[in-house]
Amino acid sequence: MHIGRLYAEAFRNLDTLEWRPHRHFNLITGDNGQGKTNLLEALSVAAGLRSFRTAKLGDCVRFGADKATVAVQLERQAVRVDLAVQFRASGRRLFLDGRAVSGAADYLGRLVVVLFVPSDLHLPHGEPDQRRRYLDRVVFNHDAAHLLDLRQYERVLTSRNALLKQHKVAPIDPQMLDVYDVLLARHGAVVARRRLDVLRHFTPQVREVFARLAPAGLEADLRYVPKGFASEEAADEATLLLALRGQRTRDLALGYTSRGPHRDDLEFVLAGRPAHAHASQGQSRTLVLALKIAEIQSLEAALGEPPVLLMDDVSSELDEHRNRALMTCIDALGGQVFLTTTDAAHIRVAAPRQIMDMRAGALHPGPTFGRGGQGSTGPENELQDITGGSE
Amino acid sequence: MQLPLAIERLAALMGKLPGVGDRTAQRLALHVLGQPSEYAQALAQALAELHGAVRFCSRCHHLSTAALCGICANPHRDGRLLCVVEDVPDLLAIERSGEFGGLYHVLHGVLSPLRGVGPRDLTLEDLVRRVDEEAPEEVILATSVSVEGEATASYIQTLLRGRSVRLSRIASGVPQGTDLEYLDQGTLGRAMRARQPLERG
Ligand SMILES: [Zn+2]
Repeated sequence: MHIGRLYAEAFRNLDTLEWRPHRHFNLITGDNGQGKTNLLEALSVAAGLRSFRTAKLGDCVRFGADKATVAVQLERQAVRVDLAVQFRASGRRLFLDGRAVSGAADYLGRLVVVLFVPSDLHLPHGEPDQRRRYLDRVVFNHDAAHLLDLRQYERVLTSRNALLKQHKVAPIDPQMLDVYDVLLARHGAVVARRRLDVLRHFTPQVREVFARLAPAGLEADLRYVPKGFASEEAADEATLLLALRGQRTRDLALGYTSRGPHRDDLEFVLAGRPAHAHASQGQSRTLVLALKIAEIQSLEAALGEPPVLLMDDVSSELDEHRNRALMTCIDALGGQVFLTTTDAAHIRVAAPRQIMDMRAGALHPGPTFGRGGQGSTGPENELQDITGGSE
Repeated sequence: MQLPLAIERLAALMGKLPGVGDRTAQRLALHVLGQPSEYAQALAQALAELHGAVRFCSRCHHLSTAALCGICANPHRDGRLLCVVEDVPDLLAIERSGEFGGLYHVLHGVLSPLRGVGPRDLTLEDLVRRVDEEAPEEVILATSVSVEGEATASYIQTLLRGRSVRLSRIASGVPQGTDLEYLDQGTLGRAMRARQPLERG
């Protein structure tokens, strides 16, 4: 699949943008703070109706504007679909081929993007909520219904937490809590089941890609670790319900819910030991690279075509060896890629490409790198031979 | 643009109606002004009499002009079936589907800890009393297919625990988060016919 046209209006600092990206490779250069990441964020919002930077879409509306719009023309196996999302602080509207659609279910799952941002490199050592969000993104890409299930679950969870907090002011009806225990277990089991289902085929792929990238003999693994009970029971509604009932007194004292998929973790394992405690920085970067390559490959197999890749200045964080592995994967994929960088010297792919330069929220045909000797050419660097727009 | 205060005031009141923004409110106010003055007087009178002329049915809490609403007063309605709905638009939607000949109970809301709506804010006590007094054979829980609607249905299930009445829930073919009011008649009719029995807790 690829994006034939992108339109953005009042999205963060971006000027009103109407752009026909390259079918394969789009390199967006520019200094920090010019709006490169905003462009990738706009694309990821068009795909998943969620931002990777903020929980509130309203934050993406340019200061002073009342609404923002992102529209993409998506070409998927020769079928063209126009997707558009318009949002403001109070809510959002979705459009499919110019017609308003009422539910996100009709909209989601059409544009599939794989995102790679520098903070992903901290996944193995980072906080569990970062790993959960990553996992949910992987699961969502395989089954868009996951996002709707997650929202339902989050609504049950915030409702139950509201009850627990009310109890601190005045005793609540225990039957209300009974009801929310049952709902939390029911919706929580759905969320955990989907995560486990995707991990079942995703984990072997990560193991295999990691083995190709890492020194011989080093093995990686992923393990789903539910909070408070054994991993094979993570998706069991009755077990979760029992756990909630068992924690009730504690939850009432805490004022929040201490069991459920919002507390589960995805543990990264290296040579049989938890990566967060034992992996070196280099090892954990290789692990993250393996995760991303495995995700791209598994989606390509599932969709029958490569997903769209969004990469935000990750090359500068990777060393020569890992960068080459990533670029080789991108080249082999042959799908559409949007890649930002402050230094185009990192980007070495053979694919045909378009180079754009982002300055103060406006896209200009590139390249403009190479100033101050940054873009010195090596034998593999063909960038300067090809100026933008080779279609 | 400055408009006479009388128009601004009407526009401000119109603007409080659901789905009416400031500009629409102004257009509506100007439209009323453009009509013969009898229209404005008839509108004012209708508004003034609204609260005095409408009350809630003492049995089912539907809107009514008398102590009992038209549905409760109708001897041909089937008293063995009792359908619990969130609000009046849902009741009207089920009536339009033509699939239901029983009686209703209107909750006037759903349980929502997030909006501070608890059991006492709904007509739940009356519902339990009706089930005991009228002894219907089946109570159909037709609250919306949202988290709040689901929670309300489960809560009612708990309240009616231990009674011999049969409980059912409208079919889950209704997409999550849909207001019954906006379902087309065919879908709502199917959801009513394909209602699922709930286990007696
Ligand atoms: Zn009545």
